[in-house]
Amino acid sequence: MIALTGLPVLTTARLVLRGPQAADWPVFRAFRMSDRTAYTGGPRSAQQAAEQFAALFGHWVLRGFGRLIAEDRVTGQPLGHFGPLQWDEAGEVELTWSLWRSEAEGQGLATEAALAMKAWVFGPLGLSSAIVQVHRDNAASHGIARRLGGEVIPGRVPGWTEAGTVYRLTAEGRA
Amino acid sequence: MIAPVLHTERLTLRMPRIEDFEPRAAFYASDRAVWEGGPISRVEAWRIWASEVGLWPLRGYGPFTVEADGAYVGEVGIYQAEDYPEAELGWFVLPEAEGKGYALEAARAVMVWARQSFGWDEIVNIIDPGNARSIALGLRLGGRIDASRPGIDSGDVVIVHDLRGFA
Repeated sequence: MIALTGLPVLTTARLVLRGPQAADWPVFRAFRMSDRTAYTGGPRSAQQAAEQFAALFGHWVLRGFGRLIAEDRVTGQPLGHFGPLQWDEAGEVELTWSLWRSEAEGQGLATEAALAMKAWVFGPLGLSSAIVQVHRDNAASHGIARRLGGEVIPGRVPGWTEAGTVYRLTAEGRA
Repeated sequence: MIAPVLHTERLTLRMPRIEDFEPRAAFYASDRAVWEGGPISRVEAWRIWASEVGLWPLRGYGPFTVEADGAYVGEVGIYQAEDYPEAELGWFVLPEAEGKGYALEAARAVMVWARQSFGWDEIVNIIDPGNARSIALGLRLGGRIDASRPGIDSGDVVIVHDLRGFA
């Protein structure tokens, strides 16, 4: 199989975070077309899901960083995507996360993966700051942002909704 | 998987790089991009470009950046829409580089590369019916319009190229 090369592999207690693979498509497609994306602008059409899936790969090619896929260390099942995203050179890097499967929720897996990505972003990648954008009603992600040490940027809203919060993450921040 | 470098008489075709984004986004923000789904914003342009460049690791083909004398003049490549049965040969050239036959020269090189790399017998162009310039180029490249094939959007002109002559 053709693959991205040179991407990091991060291992946590319960997860392996590795580069996106073509085999992730059916699970990603189901996720992006589901109500699970209601807080991030979804659900999407199959065509939009395909563009977003290919963009996971293209972002790595063009910028040299991007999102990794967290898979269960035991079963190998892909559970979600985690990592830095940058829309525009003039804009800030955003740390993003999404659990693709509802059955993966409620166990601290997203926090575990996001902490590993944060360490990579402020360590090997060498960034000193990033933002997190969270929809107002997305309680689980607000909790993760706080556990990562995010601090609310007063008065700022996400790029895709007026109803939300933007957090600042820094290498020096707690957690 | 990344693109090989292809050389023609006047052009270099290579893997897209981040610095290609500025001229590409400017083109897509202009009225000239009307046949490519434009004009579109920078953010939208990035989203589409990242997904097209992502075809390289996913499928082993994708867009080539086209350079003439070291300058960005446009893009020629093989694109694949989700749920569409065939890969598509596509191109655009910046307005200031039009009229020099660059798209034709680059498209030929990509067709030869596709034949040699994948053994495909044919490749199609899928073109908006109002885009007379690209339809003319598709025919000049030796393609024929196949009215029986659906495009992606309603009314699209599908031009089929026989690649079997490209050893």
